[in-house]
Amino acid sequence: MKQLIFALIFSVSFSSYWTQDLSFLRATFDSANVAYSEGRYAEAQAGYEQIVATHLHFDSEFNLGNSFFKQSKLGQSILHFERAKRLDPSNADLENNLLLANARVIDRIETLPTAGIEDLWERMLSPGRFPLWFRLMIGFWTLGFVLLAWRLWQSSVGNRRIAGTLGSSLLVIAAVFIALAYGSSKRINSSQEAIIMVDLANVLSEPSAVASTLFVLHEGTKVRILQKVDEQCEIAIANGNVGWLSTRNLEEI
Amino acid sequence: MSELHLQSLSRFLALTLLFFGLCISVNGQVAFETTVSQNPVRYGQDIQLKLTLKNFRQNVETPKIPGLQLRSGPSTTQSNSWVNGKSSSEISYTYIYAVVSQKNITIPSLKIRGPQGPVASKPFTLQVIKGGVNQKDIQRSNQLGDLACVIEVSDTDVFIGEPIIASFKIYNRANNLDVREYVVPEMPGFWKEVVDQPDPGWEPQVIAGKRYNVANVRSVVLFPQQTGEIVLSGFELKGYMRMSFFDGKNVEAKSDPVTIRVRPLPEPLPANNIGTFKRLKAQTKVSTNNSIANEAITVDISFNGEGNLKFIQEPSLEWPAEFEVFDPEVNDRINVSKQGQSGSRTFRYVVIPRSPGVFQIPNIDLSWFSLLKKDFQSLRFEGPTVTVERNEAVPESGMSYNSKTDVQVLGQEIRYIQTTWSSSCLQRAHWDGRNLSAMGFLSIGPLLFGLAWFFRRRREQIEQDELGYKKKQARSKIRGELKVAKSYLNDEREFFPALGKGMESYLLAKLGWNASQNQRDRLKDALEKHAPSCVHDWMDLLERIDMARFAPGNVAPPHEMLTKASLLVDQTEKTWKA
Repeated sequence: MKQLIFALIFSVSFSSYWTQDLSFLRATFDSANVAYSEGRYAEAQAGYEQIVATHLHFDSEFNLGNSFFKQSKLGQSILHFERAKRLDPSNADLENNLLLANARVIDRIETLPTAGIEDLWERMLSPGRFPLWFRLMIGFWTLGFVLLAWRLWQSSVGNRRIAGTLGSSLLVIAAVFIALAYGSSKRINSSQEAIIMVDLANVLSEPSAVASTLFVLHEGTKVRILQKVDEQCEIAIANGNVGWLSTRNLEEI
Repeated sequence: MSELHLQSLSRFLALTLLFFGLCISVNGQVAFETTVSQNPVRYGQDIQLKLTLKNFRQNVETPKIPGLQLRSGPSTTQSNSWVNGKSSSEISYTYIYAVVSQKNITIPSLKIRGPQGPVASKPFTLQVIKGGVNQKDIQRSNQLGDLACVIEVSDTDVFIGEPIIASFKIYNRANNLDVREYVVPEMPGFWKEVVDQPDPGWEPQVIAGKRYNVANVRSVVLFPQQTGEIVLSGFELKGYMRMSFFDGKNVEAKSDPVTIRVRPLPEPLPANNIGTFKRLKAQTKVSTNNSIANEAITVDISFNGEGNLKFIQEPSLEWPAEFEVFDPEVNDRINVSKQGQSGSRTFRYVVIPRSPGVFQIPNIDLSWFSLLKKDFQSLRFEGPTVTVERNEAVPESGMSYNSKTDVQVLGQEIRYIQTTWSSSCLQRAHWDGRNLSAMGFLSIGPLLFGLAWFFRRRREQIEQDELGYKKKQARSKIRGELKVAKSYLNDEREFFPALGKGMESYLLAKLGWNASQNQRDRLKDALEKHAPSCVHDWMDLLERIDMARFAPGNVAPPHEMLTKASLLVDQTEKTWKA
């Protein structure tokens, strides 16, 4: 009983703290929006950055991308649009803004043709999908076991059969959601993608001082990180070219 | 006629001929002359050297003269004349020489054997004028060799859009070349217009004294479309040179590259520039200046001049809103020749004025780059006025039309920020612990299942042990019954029946009996068998309860009875024998 009371007090205090925190965040968000609408983009940027420093929030990431875009900071703008995309891959406004920002990138890279299913898979495993997969995973998994438990207490053959079939099916579906949740969870830690943040970055043939320059990338170009060695990382661009780049030249999404 | 007469006549003729022959040989003076077709001459030029033998015959040897190179010859002419009884004859040997010396050439005295001894011509000097043949021609002749493919362009330094005439020519010194294949290259960086010409044939041309057969296989008018240096190359030829009737050889030739420097137009470039032309004029013509509403009129905007007229795009015009304007029909009367493109391009608009009024056809305000003046020229004039009368045939309140146009995108901008706090907001720390919480939530299901399985299993085990099950049932039953009885402690009428019912139920459950077997004697016997030490107490308790039920007032108080019953149950549980 005592434990129950303690848990109740804890949860109430926690929720009140969370509510206070949330109202503070919303106030920050609203004041940053006002600054943006009045053209004070640097001020708006500071507000949104305060939110995204501690929280994962699509709207703030999107607005931060807009603020940087208005200040002609292309690399930062694309970085935050990409981060917003990870949280909500199917937002139409974001898709439009990202397209316009990418149109200003100097590098034109012919994307290698990919099967449509790969794009679909990437969208399904985007970090923004994790909460959905997580809820479905827990729901189906728990319900599946509840049905199997209920089956143990049933004496009717018909009920036992229904409970067994339904419970097993739910567990199989839950396993799919577990895989999806695991995949998107992995992408939260490391997207394996980054944006070039400097005006001009030389991509080298190897991570050494004597390496030759293979090609040159410009601010805003998106790269895929293959591996990291000290302060160098091996990257691949959309057309399949691979090279080494200093980590100081890019920022992970 | 007799045979004698014929013989005498033939003798007469023979004597006469002999006489004339003697007269010629005797009357004419023997002479030998050397003449040239031209003096002075230019270096590289071809001249004719004529050796004339007067009044005698003799074979001559081809003279070798330093500074002259034999091209062809000799060709021989002969003439005889008879004047006032004097006869004369003349034989001429004509040679063609090329002047290969840049200094004066001495034609020496040539000697030949005459009828009365050697005859000599007079020497003279052939003057050679400096700079005779173009030095470039000599160089070119050397470059061409016997067979060459040449790309000839009218200019190599042009403005963007300025036409260049490129001719693809084959130079060939032999007469027996069989051209089997030639390749005219693609010319990237140019807009091309091929000049119509008849099938190519060989035409003679002398370059630096050398005779060439030249075939112009194609002429193209090129309009450069990009600035910088553009190289034309890749004009190739494959042919077969016949050496004799049975013999020959394959020959190939490839053109030297030609570099064309294309300069940009001078800055600033007017926004309404329509191109580069040698000359350009424009005019607007309407089919009628007086029309009625809803009746079509045609408006022709024509451009005349020289240059790439095909590049002229439809001018951007602001038509009156009351006009319905259809896409123009483009009529070209453009002639492509070796001088470039010339002619006219006309945009014919069909326009339907939808309401009455006085309207002005749009003004033309364009500019073009003049190749003659090397500057931009403006092309600006006002359009004519059209008066549209009311159309009585169609009521004005009838249908009205609006011309539709595609929505023009004037600019693109990022979409506005998200103004509402619509999406979920998660703490990064909370996000970091997602795997742990996932494990916790995932364990709920298996845990529930495990508990269910455990309890189910336990129940099955209990159900298998009949005695233990009964015992357990009895214990749970008496606890419930004693609890019920306890609730009636203050109400004796309810308490004792509840207690009695509970105690009897306990014993029946303990013994595994049903209600019909509930008889005191049988109970006593059973208790003596299973709990002999408690028989007396049980009988006493049951009797007291019965007494209390049916004759209240002479029994112990309820709480005492309850305590006693509890103790008895405990003792029975301890001493019960299976």
